[in-house]
Amino acid sequence: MSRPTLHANGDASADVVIVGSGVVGGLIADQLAAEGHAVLVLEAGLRIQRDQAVENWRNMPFENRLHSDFQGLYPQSPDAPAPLYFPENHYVGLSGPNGSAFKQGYLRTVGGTTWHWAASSWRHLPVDFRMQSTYGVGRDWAIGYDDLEPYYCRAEEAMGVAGPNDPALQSPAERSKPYPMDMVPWAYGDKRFAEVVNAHGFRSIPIPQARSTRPWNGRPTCCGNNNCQPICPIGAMYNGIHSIESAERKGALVLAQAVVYKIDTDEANRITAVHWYDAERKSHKATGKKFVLACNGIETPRLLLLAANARNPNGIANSSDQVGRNMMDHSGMHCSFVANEPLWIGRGPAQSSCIVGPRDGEFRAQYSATKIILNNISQVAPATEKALAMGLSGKALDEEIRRRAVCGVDLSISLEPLPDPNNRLTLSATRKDPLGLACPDIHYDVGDYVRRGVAAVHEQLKTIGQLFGATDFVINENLNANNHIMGGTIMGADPRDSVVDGDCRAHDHANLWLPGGGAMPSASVVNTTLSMAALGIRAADSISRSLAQA
Amino acid sequence: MPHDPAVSPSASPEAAPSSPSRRRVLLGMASAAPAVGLLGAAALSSHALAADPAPAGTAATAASAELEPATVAAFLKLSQALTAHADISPTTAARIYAALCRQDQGAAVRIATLQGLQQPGQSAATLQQAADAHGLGDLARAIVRAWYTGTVGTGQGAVVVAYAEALMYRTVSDGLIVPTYGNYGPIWWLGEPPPLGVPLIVPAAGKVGA
Repeated sequence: MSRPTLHANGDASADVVIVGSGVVGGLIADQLAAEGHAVLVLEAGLRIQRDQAVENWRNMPFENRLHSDFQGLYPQSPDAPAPLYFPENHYVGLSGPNGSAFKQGYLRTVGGTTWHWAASSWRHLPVDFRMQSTYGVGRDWAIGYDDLEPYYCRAEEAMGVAGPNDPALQSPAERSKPYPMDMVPWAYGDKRFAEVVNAHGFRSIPIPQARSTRPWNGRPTCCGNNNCQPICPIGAMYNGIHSIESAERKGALVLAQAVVYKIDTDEANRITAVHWYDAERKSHKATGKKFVLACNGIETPRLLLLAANARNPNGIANSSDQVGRNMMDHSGMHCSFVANEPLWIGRGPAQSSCIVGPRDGEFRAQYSATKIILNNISQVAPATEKALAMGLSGKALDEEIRRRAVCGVDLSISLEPLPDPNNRLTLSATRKDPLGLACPDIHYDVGDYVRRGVAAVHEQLKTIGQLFGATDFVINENLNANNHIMGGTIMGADPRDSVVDGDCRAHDHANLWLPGGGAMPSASVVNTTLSMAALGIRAADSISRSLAQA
Repeated sequence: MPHDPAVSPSASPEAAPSSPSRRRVLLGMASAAPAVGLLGAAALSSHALAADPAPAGTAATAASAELEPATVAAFLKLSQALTAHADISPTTAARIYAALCRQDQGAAVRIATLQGLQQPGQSAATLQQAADAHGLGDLARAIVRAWYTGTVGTGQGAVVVAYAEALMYRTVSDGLIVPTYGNYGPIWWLGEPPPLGVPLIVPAAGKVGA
């Protein structure tokens, strides 16, 4: 076992320095520590405890829980703010026609944002890697599905994904290995929903989930606490913290409250060190052979721009001027209604079934793909809010809450954006964080491709509503963020118009890797985490080979 | 949600004596039965304790611990009538009472008046109607909301008084766990859920207590 060296002055040296301790940084740290390399992980935020997050959530006001305040329960380091919305802290400055659709909820904490994800672990489709050559829109990846497929398998293994092993229920079905665990079994509501909609040409299938259906790597079997978002109380759901703790057992050193702000480069433009502020705002330096920035789709491009130096005046890794551009998220919307039959949403984990029929088709030359998740988070809170607003009392109130909770449906719809260089993250000229570092600004326009997709999905949703004799049928007009942040360090074969290569290695710096959502050149319409994890493991292999050559 | 002055943390105590709601409270107290007058006095003295300057964000339990037992008992009885639930917690009652009083200095008097409107055998809806008729409808609804949601008030001034005990969860306790709890163990959700057991039709909305 090899460990990083912490010097008396607080500086550190390691074989590999990883900035960011989320799922991507955690998986890379775990692999490289297992290979015997000295790994240092620098995390801007706090180390938090699961039980405290659970208690904080239970102690949050009803209004916060009703409106899914998944940020407020996680304590923040005063020197590493992340977005808050109750009330808004405006840490990320948003502008543009759809700025309000980019209100991301990401965590800066040891373990990262998968503390409050729903564990959906989808793969991109093979065609998603060839959007430009297939549909004439967007970009092609520098690698193909076949290149990433082995890494998808390894990511599913590392995160303990439970998915359907019946090919008819897979999306995509092109797999070289079965899922590590079979699918999370459906509750009544999932079965009934699929029975009704699939008879009318929809395709609702099981969501592959990084959630244990049997004891897995120290994780217990899911007990259906129905609280995956914002915190799995028992750790049956994979969180980045699992990989971080595993890496620590193998010798990795993880420093919390270590805010990286500066990056040194040598005459060959290799990274020689990163500098961080500790909790006392003292600056320290970490030297290493290989460097990874895996800080999240917003924080990685922000740091690259913040760390501009004499040799890289437009930012680290930014000779292409693409750092911070092509920002994407699966902008989405919700559709809610009360069905004319009981569905008992809320039994089991947060999300188990999803309509994926509109993931692909010739229409993608014209407009966005969509997916429609049957949200399985308990509907009791929204049912109560509505029943109280009706002014009911006594038994009538109880009965109306029950009717709305048992028959209530919430669908979460995601749309597929195209990479657009004008959707851009820049450094604020006026707003600074408590350390004096510029806050991020983001301009966002979902574009006509998504707007046409919205029109298409409205028709699908109306059909679904009719199949359930829906009352109180509402499609939210305002697009919402889904925290699937992509594009800001985009991958490509050409260094002139992209930031990283097919291994997520920076074109400009031979010993710097930028894996994660930022590298993804196409969004597909599915949650990004498994693709991010696969890219992270692929980057870890690349780092490992590079260390062997050194 | 419409603005509810009964739970507004920004209600100004200085403005209360001349406000219409204050006048209705005084009228209500004048017509209250003697027994209720005693409860009202108890409530007022407790309120004085609860209204002592306290730092913002004080836990719901702090102020509620100082309440007179009779005050809590009377508020529990009122809550039982308003919610039509007999089996509710005195501890939660004390927390709700204290939070209401902290958010609105006139709450204790108005609660006492509301208590005076209780009649034997009265339904929750009838009591709500009586509250509406006396300008106390919003207060009654705030109390019901607190029991069902486990929270008094909204926004930054909201106070959590209960989580798992919030009455909303009881309406489906035969088929759903309270989120965060794992009462039934691994993969518990495979069986058939219980029958709906309530009418599928939409009730006449907003008629009761509107």
